[in-house]
Amino acid sequence: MSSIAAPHADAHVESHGEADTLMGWLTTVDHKRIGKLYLYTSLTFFVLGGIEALFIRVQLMMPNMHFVSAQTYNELFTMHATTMVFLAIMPMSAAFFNYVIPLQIGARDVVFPRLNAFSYWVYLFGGLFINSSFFFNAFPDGGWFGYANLTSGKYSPGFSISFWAIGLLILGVSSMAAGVNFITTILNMRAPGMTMFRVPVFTWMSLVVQFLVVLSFPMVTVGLILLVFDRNYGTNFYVPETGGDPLLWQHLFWLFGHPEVYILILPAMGLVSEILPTFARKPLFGAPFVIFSGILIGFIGFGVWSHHMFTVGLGPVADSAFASSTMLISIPTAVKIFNWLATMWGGKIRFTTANLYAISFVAMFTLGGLSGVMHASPPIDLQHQDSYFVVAHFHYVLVGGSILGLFAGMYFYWPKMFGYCLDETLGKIGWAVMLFGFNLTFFPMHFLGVQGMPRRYYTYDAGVGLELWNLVATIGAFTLATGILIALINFITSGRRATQRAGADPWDAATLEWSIASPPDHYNFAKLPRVHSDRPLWDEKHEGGPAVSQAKIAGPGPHHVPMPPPSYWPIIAAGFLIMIFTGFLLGKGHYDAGTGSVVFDHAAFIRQVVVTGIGALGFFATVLKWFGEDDSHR
Amino acid sequence: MNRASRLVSVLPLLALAVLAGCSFWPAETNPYTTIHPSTDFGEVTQHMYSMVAYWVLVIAIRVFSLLAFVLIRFRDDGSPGNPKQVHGNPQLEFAWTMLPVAIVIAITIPTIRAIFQIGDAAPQGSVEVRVVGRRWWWAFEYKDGSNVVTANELHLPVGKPVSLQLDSDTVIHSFWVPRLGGKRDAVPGRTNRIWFTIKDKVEAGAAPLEYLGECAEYCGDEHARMRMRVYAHDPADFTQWQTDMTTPATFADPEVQAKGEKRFTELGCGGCHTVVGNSGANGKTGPSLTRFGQRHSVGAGAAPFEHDDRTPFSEQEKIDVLTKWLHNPDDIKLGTTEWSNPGRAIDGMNIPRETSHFGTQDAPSDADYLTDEEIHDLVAYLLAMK
Repeated sequence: MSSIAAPHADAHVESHGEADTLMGWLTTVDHKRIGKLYLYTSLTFFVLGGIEALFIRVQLMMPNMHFVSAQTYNELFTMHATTMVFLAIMPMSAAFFNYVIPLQIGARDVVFPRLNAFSYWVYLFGGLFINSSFFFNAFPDGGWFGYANLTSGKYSPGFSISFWAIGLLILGVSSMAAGVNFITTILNMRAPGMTMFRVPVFTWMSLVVQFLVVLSFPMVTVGLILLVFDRNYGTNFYVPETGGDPLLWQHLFWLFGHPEVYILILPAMGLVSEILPTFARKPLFGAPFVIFSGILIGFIGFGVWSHHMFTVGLGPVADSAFASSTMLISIPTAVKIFNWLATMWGGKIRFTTANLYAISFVAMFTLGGLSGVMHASPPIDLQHQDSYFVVAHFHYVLVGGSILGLFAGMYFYWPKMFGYCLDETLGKIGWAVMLFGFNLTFFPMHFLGVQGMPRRYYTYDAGVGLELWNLVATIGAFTLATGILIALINFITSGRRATQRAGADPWDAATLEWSIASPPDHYNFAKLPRVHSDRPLWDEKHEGGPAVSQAKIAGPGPHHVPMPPPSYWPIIAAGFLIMIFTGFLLGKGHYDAGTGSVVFDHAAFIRQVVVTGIGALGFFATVLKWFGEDDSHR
Repeated sequence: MNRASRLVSVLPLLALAVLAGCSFWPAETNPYTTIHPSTDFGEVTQHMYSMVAYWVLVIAIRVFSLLAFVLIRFRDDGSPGNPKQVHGNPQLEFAWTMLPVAIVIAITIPTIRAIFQIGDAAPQGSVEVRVVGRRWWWAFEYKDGSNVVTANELHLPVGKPVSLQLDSDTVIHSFWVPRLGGKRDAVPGRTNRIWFTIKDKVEAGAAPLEYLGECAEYCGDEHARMRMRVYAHDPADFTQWQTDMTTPATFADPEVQAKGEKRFTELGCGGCHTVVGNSGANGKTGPSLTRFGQRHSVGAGAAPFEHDDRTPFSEQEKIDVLTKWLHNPDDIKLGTTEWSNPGRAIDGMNIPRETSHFGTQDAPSDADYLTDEEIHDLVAYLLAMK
């Protein structure tokens, strides 16, 4: 991606940015570069997951199609979901956490810049690890939810589930490390005067997300480790024949899986809460309400997991409790929608591409939320569970919600990240095609669900009323893909076509990230601003408030801004971490039909000990070097 | 705004019309429909669905109208100056927090009532059937003293409570016949229950009512073709059907029976399949084939005995598809035999009869398949058992 040359740093500031070489990028600890790496990588995986989705839609275009085999289809829907959730949407959000949070809170970087780089490399390697299974003819096929006991050594004897389970463990390390990093950053690195009540809403929502990550990933980690133990050493956590319980997996998975839904949607809500006010030229209506709603969603999100399990027979008392808590969570969600509407009420709404995406987010997320209320009611869910109605619902939340919100964020923050605005004409065409294609794909799925079509069916019969809407959905999927393609072309070519620099504040926005150059200098803020309100830049520009813009802060600037030096230890540590986990992959036991259980495989165990051992030694040696890095010249 | 608000107020009526649009998808052409229930259980779920769908449509229409109004009314008209900087209004925000609270309460109370209604114990004297999810077919064992065992086609009486005990001896499946009410998972190691009474009417002696069902929990390769059919009889006819299922079928042509029974035993079919009346066929691993001639598909719906428009096959077409199935079932349903998926289809069909390759990756050779003559005899035997 090309970009216009960075402006000259203030004459009196000395700080050497990182070199724009391959080595410079591999050793970067700059949150802005890491944010861009997250962005590029997540967009690549997003395209991969999208192609998998198109294969699925071609297969379902007509009844009894044989475009792909049952086995391939099962691999496709498993990896489509796994890719979109863990490798596309979460890291696309992470791109914004990385790039925007330090700028919004007036910091020069995150608290642990090397840990931040480590998170990225672990994410990249973890994504490659899962997908490399394709070349070993072991593409995961157990569903992104990997329900036990289909994942047991008996029913999935190959390496596919091992790749999946261990890949998710690796990605969990990345997310947890990033979560700790951002919690610490947001709590400790805020500019002087920025109380928690003055923290911008995007950063607030991100903070909630990081707590959700840090509290929910351990649960799926435990679940996955038990699964790997079952598959490697013949333990009996999930195997019913020997007294294990497959429902244990469902509880552990959804204890993580439901907060995960909010991990995916809250960043988009945060972005929209920045964009709508900016383009309505008003503050966010009832910002504290929006923030407390986000916190409340985070809390209640831990108490609703069994609504994914209404059909497993937990009994009426449990079903009633989880139905009630699920209904409850719709209240703070509804509050947010009302607040966004009220933000625009009485404003002067500019229909930029970013705002069009943000407005569509509100509309589409409303539909997704409302269909969610329907199967929050267990009697209804007994019909909707695992049908296309649910598929429609969560795509309205994840595509109509998360993806539209993140695309809004991309159009909004692109000038800050790259110094030029994306093409508005192409942007609006892409938005219109995308929104139309999205609804054409997923709205008919409500009908398919009501007509009784279950999910994860690689084929369906003719003559049972499913032909029309499946065909429409497939046409919609290709329309949606075209819209996304137009947006991607816009991302790639706008830089070449841009004729002017964006300037520090292209949207006339309100918060600190717009008070510094676009793209910001290596050190972000030459002098840390003093914050007096929740909209410091707006107040400076329109209300005669105190100066926060870098050019206007009085007094002599510093002569040297201390910044952490580049480091190659994070990427090396990430490499050794992958080796530790690869050992677990190699340690898979084999299923013995005679005894009916997984047999402890000595050769595999020795392979595992050797590979994991070398990886662990290398990892700790690397971490020691990393700890020993001398920053005294900062 | 006045005209707009009037428009908004008639929209709930439109929403009702959309709900009534259920008639767009009648059960005749949409046999898996969730909105035309035939049981008391289904009526409970359908009632909740209509009520919540109504609320959802009303809210959606109001939010969308409000959004459209805001976008048109408050678009940037290019006039100078900033709009009034309103930071919030606690009273207003409290009010619109209470609105969803009220709606949520209005939905939650009937929800909980419905949950307990569904979760009640089945009445005494229900017809008890154990439903077992296999890979990838359904076994039905009647626990009402009749000892009937059948597969993939469940026969029930109308007007009498039916209680299903769901479990699995493989992975998790989910029993879903949309028109009989909601689904329930069949989880290995535990027993789930649903019960219902079929409310539809059928005359004594008339053809039974048909409901289509499917597996709704992902269970591996052929999850998509783990279908079932439910037939609802007049109670007297149901009793007659149970009697038929426990007594040997009578063959019009004794030669078909003799040859078929011989092949069945010789080729080892009886090791896995049960046929009442055939002393060499007592296996439990595979689906019971008693009175297979009455069935409507082979391979749990993988190859229905009907055309795409659901008109039934002729006798010759049935013979053709069953012949194809017996030659190599994997052509119709991948993963049926252990050949198509070594190591995975543990309870797979053993059609290539040379078992020397069992558990190996070697592809079957021509010599491993049944001969045309063997297949002919078996097909004639199976279809004659009505």
